[in-house]
Amino acid sequence: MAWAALAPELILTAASLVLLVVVTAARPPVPAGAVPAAMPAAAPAAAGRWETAWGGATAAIFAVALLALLPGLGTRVDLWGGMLSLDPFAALFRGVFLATGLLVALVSIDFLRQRAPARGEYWPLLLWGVLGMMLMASSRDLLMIYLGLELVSLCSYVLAGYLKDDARSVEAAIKYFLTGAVASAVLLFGISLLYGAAGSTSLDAIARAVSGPVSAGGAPAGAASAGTVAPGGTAAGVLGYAALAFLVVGFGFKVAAAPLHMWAPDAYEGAPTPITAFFSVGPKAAAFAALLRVFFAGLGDLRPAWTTAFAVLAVLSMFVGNLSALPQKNIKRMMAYSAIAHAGYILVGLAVGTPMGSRAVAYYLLAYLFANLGAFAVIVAVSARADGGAAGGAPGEQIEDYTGLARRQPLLAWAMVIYFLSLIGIPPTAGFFGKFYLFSAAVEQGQVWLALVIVVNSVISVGYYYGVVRQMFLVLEPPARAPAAGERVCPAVSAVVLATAILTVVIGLGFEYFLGWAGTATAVLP
Amino acid sequence: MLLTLAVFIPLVGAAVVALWPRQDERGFKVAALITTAIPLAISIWMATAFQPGAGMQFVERAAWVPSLGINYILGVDGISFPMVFLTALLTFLACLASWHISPRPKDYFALLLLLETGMMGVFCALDYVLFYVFWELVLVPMYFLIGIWGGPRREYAAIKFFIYTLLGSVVMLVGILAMYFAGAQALGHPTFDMMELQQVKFPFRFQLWVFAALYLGFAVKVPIFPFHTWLPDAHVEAPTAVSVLLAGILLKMGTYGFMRVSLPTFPEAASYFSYAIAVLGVINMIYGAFVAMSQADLKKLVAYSSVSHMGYVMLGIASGTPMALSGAIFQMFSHGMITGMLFLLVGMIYDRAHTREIAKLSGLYTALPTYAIILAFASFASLGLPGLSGFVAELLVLLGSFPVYRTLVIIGAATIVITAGYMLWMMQRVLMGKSRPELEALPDVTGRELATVIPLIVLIAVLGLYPRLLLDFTNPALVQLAARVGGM
Repeated sequence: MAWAALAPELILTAASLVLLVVVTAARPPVPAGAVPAAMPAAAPAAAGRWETAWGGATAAIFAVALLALLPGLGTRVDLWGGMLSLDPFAALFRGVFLATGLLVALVSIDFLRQRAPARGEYWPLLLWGVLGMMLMASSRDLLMIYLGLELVSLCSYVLAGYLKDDARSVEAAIKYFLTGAVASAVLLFGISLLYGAAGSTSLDAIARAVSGPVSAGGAPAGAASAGTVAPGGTAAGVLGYAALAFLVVGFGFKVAAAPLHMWAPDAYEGAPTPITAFFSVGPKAAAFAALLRVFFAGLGDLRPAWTTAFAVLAVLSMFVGNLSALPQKNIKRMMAYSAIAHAGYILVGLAVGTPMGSRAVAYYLLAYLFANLGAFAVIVAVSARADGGAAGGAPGEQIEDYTGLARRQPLLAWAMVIYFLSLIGIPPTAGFFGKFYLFSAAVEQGQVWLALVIVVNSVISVGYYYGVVRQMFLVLEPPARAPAAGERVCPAVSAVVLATAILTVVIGLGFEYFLGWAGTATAVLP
Repeated sequence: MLLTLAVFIPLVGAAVVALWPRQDERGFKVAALITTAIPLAISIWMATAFQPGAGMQFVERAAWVPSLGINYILGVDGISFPMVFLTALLTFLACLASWHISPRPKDYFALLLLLETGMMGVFCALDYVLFYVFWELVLVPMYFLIGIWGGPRREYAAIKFFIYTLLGSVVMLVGILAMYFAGAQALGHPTFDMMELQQVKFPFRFQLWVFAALYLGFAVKVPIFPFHTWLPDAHVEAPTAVSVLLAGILLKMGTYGFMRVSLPTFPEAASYFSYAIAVLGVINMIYGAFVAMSQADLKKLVAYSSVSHMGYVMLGIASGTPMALSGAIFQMFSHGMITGMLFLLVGMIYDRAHTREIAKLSGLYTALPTYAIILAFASFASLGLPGLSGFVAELLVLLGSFPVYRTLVIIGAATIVITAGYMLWMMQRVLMGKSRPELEALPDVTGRELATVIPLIVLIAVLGLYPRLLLDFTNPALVQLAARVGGM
């Protein structure tokens, strides 16, 4: 029974190992001498076919795992004393992560065919990354959350540097690795303090330890003296506060919240574009899932402290992200700052600290995810067609490269408009309802000022999204850059674009239904 | 079902046009025109079935997000029905007037239809979230319509319009949410239902704050001084048919908001702020008229005359007497037609002479006699010639407001003279004088162009001679509204 609930993870693990063997064994031999990786145009067609096959297999694995998730919906299985907790909360996030993996795989195929054909390690790494995310969201134990996080991070570092002939990609990997390792260490230190306080890494035990009252049995909370100690007033509570600081900083790094965001723009800009898409939604959403679990379930009694901390991070992230995005010329960098701003919006839900707040986080993640993945799918499609590359930058990544896209590729351009409307928060897209619910959560809690900060930032964000829309629709294309003949968009990418655009609207109009999902999921949080 | 059809058939039409083959221009244009004709037919049918005294009619209700009290509620009463009719009529005419739009006609017509869904929805929605969704839906197609098909400064005009309106409306959203939470406490259950929230008696201080938040959203749209600076840019740069809709419908969304939301829901705050709003209304009237007088560009003149005419509406709303409110609605309807017609005429001359500069046009009576007569008609209607609808509207506003704000009305009445001044002066320069040879070669009004203005001419004249035709629709609703505000 228990193993059936774990089917998606098992499928992912088994299939990824098989795929790894296949990929290394069946990889076509690299011809001695000329290494074609740096020259996309010269990529042999045969090598490209390998990537298509492996990518298709990866997408299929994600799809099968997603189907395997369905029978377990609505059930609640605890394995190994909460080490794995396959509850509705986990179900929502596991589904979301598998969908993310599926979409990223589909977007990657064409990109890899052009930029790094016939290497193949990419696919198992992507599978393991998603596996790590799933473990992070489905554990009530800090140890497992940390292991999941490290699995995601290690795969992410390697994937960021996957284009090993591209200096920017390597730089991105190193920066990401160094800062990420520090963040992990900080996080681990926070976890060790909590372990010290509770004598266990289980969130349930930690919750009992930090809640203060000595009579709460089981937890070996140190100071068992005065009977009327306020929550957090015990020695365990003091340790809890100290741990809190480390956890906020550690997770703050992982979700790229200002002022802990410095790594993000470089990592996002340098990483292969499909991987940037993955970073901007996958590990970030996983970190938010872990945040919800750790803070709501584990440290719920220290709420006044962490809500304040998250409010500060939220406000800073919104302003820093949106204002820094304004002058960007590279669209991936712009989207990196946009992602920082969105981390800020989502953190408002944690800053509110109510059940409505956690629901808002879950729904907003759902809304944000598809819009952002879709936007990156368009970015992949556009950079794929810009062969050669503009001077001083990667091909097709400058906002200028979007000139006249509305005329050349109306589907891509209009889909981009839908994603951006959602990211700004204009109805009837999902982003509007996400922000609307965040507003409501803040206003309900009496924190109208947080709602007003979101409002102001939504208007600021129009500035940079508009810059891209302006290029696509309003700026006339110079005749010299007439559309290249035989320009095409990979069908897999088109499918992703279409699906995410439709989902962005459907998740909005079906607010009741999807908010219900978010509600069921977060209902397990106390 | 009727209102749902009127709101969403344009959306379906937009999808059809978007999927139509790009080469078949005639095909998708005819499809677009037919699509706009359906809501028009529906609203004409509704006019015959409408019962003025019966409050909200054609009401439709369905659960949308029941857990938050968000519902899909549509309905019309004496305040909104004239606007629904005007929207259907002007969009149909705008579609007809855009026949030769280029480039990318397909995208244009799809966006125009999307815009109609938004406008219709704003006037029919009776749930705040639904209202807000439509309110914002208007923004997006309008941005593209100005930005892609506009004049030389289109980019600037489009983004200025977008940002002004967005800023206003997000603040409005915060106000709506505050109202929602306060209403949920008072009613015992959460709801965004407009009619239900009207029944709540909010505390006075709360009313002031929320009224102010909503004011920002509505005032930007009207636009009320000093939020009016986006208007001349947007109107001047927008393509003809879009200017028609901008002036004819979008501005009315603001004043409609006051009558549908602000006055009935926050009556105490409304009367607290009424004097200030009346003063701003009079500033709009006089300031707009003077600025219009100084314009060298015909389209700018019409744009500023809108600022001036919308001032009457605000004065009428601030006064709150049944007569003044009737005048306000009448002015909204009549100004929609008259300004729409003026923008169509400006577009016609621009298409021919490729200039809108008053100094470069003269002697049009000789060169284009039919055009000149129609322009003269529209100008006289705009300056409030008795016998045409503009006169009735302005008379009602001034008469109805006089008992409340004597001094302000006396000052405001000067607008009539100033308006007559700039309109007559414009006519003198454009229509009289020596005919220019380069203008004489131009073709006169075509049949299609005549078809776009004749319905407006007829309605302007009929409503001017027989205002009861419209007043009978609006009066019962307005008497109720005036009673709520305190019958001042």
